[in-house]
Amino acid sequence: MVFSSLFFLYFFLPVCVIFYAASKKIQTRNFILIAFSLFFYAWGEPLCVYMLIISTAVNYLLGLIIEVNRGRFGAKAAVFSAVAFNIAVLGIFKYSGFIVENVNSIFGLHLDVPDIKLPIGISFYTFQIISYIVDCYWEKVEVQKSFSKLLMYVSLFPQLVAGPIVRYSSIESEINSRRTTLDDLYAGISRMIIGLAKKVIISNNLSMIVDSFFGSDIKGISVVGTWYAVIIYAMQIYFDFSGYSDMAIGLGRIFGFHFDENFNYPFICKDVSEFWQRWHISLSTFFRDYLLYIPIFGKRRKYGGLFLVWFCTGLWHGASWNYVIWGLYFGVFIFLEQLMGKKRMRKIPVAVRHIYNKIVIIIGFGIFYFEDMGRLGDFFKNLIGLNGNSFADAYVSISFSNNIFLISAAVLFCFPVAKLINTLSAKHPAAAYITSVSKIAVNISLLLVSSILLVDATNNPFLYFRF
Amino acid sequence: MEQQNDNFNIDIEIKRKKIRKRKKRWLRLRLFKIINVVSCAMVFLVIAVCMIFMKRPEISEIENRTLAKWPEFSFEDYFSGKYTAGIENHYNDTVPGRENFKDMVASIRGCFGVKSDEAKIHGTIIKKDNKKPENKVIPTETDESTDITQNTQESTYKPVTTEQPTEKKDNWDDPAVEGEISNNILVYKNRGIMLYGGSYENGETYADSVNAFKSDLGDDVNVYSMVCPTPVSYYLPKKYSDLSGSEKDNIEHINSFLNGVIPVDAYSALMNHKNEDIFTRTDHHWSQLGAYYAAEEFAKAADVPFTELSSYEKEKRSGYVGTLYGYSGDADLKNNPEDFVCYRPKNKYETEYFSTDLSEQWEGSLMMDLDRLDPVSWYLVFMGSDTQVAHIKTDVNNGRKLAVIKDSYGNALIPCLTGSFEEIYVIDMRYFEANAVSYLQECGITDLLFAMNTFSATGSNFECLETIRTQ
Repeated sequence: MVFSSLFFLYFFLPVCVIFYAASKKIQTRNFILIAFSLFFYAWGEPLCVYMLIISTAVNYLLGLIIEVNRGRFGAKAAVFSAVAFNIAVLGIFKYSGFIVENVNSIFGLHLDVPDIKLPIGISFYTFQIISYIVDCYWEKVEVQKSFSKLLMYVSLFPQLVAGPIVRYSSIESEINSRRTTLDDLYAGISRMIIGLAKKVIISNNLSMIVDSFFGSDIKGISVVGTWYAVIIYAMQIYFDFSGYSDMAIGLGRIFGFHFDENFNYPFICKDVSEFWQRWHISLSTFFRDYLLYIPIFGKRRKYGGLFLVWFCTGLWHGASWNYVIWGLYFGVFIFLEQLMGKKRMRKIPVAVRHIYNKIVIIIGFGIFYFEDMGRLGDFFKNLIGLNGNSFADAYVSISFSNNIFLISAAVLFCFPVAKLINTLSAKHPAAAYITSVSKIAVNISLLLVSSILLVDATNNPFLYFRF
Repeated sequence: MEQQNDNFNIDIEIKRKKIRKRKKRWLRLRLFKIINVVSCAMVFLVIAVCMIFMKRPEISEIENRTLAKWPEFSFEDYFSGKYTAGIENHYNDTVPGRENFKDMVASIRGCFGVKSDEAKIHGTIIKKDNKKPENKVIPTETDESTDITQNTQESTYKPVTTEQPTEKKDNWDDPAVEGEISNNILVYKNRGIMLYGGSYENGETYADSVNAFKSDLGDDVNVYSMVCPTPVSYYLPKKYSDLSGSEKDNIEHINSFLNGVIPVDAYSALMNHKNEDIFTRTDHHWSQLGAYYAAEEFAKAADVPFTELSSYEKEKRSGYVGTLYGYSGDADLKNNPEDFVCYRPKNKYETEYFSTDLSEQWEGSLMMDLDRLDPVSWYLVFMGSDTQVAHIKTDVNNGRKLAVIKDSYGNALIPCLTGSFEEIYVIDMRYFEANAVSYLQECGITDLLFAMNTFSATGSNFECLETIRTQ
């Protein structure tokens, strides 16, 4: 089940919310959330749902062992086993095929390549469980003594399938007591609708443009066409993923949970390091907090750790070398920026910094798109016309004019427009009224337009779905 | 003292007024929030109730397909996730009032931009380098013989091995190669043009199949191949020519590989009438007028009489929007419907139909009643469904019995040939379940025509020929 489907929006969700609202006690509400979340997950993964439950059970027990053995070796052993177990599960289900393929090519073997179907959301919930168990060990959170409450945290359907990676610490208290106020409903529904619109209205239609250029052999695509398509692709991914995060945050809010922001208008960044502080924030902070603390490199930890983090960031996105290259590619630029130092970076004119980082980011998305190395090579050659492709042709201008309003809207909403409107209207009471009334119209129309567009898209998975 | 007290009281009064005003404002904004939440919740509830309880459609006329059904349960399907995915697909696909929403989707998409150069491209831009491979070298004796008798001309070809076609078929997701209809559609001046992928390799395999039919049926049967071009050959602006393969080159390549089979040049026949309504603007089929000119060319090649257009009864309807609208979702096609014209032959003939496995038989009409058909499906006026075998007995007495193995392009041809052959058998190559060769031999046919468009001949449909020949 995906969020951007009529089945979810107009069957699962209303039923779930009605049951939730009808019950008053927190225990019943938690039970309802667990039931609906497991149903949601089992709908897409009728077998791997048991993997989810078993993973949670293992970590639950190890959490208890940590609690019992505080300050002793047993606690350390428990947390190491937990992390090892979680990584092993992720490794087997997601990377076994990739690993065996590479072993085969390096050592010239012919081992059978396992073809395990990737359970949806495993990359997300594995990291969430790790955040819980490690925080337990570090005594940042209290060990959860109730298995059902831990299960609810892991399986909560708003963030289960495609993030954000919600830390146990951020919702620890809300598990036990939360309310849904009017403001929660208002903010939650609005956020959810905006996320839906980002995905269905903007991202899906941008993806059709990208497909029309990159959907087949790209050698004939012009230079301008290649740049055009990859820029559109960067926006497509942004609206797809941030839209989904918006829906997750909005849905969580409806149930009284406050998740941290996962995107903060990444394209207004001034350099690549800042981009990653604004993009998929929950992932980069996870690596910063849990991976960089591994004292593997000692004194050289700073830079060695950096490349380890970027290697893992890339690899997390997919079991394919282009993703690893993508991660390391960003690692290199962040490394260079750190060498430059913040003072020297600030001396460079802002316009140059913007152009530089946009080019890096856009080319990065090209690496992200082409899983096949041959096509990736074609992409690089296309960018500078080395494939014998023309500089420009009629197809770019046709595509651009056919989609000019859509693209303009996409570019516009890469900027914090909503924030600006809210700040301005807070100053004048009349403006506040107008904004409040227009928000009603905006919500209703975005919801209706998104729903109508969904009629046309019977099959509509999220791009980050393979995680 | 009193002055100070008064000032103090006035200050408090002003402050209280301000607080009251702020509270009012806050309450009003809160009210708007409540309205917002309630109206969104109402929308969710109303739509949910409609979707759960209203009757669901089963067919999409616009998309020419049945909508997803509720899936059959099996443990295997359940554990693989297919069953639940099927339920969700059914829920999402069979939306009550679906056709209306699809129109709204087209209008919404139409608001995304403006038209440029009067063209819009739907689907993947695939550029063709259009390098022609070497055709098979034919000796001076042409394969088109004007002297068609019971014994066809002897095969005088010297088998010449040709080099492999220089164009390597790029199979990378090229939908234009697939079957009869492509999702790559260019809409130019309110005309939908399917972009042709082409495949010289597939064309050779088609020729092989057709040649095999000829050798199976022997010298008593004249075999013809008429691969019909589509609008892309006539209406695609030159500046976009690299978007499409060349139907002319593909047809010529096929024809050069024919052995004992007579090619019929529908391409030139239609080119001579390009400015007439030989193709529909909004559907992927030709019009019956186009089929008429192709049939005329065939009748010449077969040396049979041919009924002039003026002898037909012309019927016209307006407001036709065909399949290309459903495939491209382009509002320009929907907003610019065309006229649908068909010609009913006036001579006497009887039509019977058989099921595709030949087990059932029933009497029927060659041409349907337009008023009983949904406007988007008016092309079905020609024989109705494709999943049947037709047999027409005419009032012509020339001992010639024709069989037509076709795709849906062939349907419009048949009425134009009722004045040319004594009997006509019509087999759709995609849906025939018996052995075609033995069936045709049983029927005692004298002429066999392969009539289909280029997409079928060089797409995946051509494999059907081998299937029906050998099954």
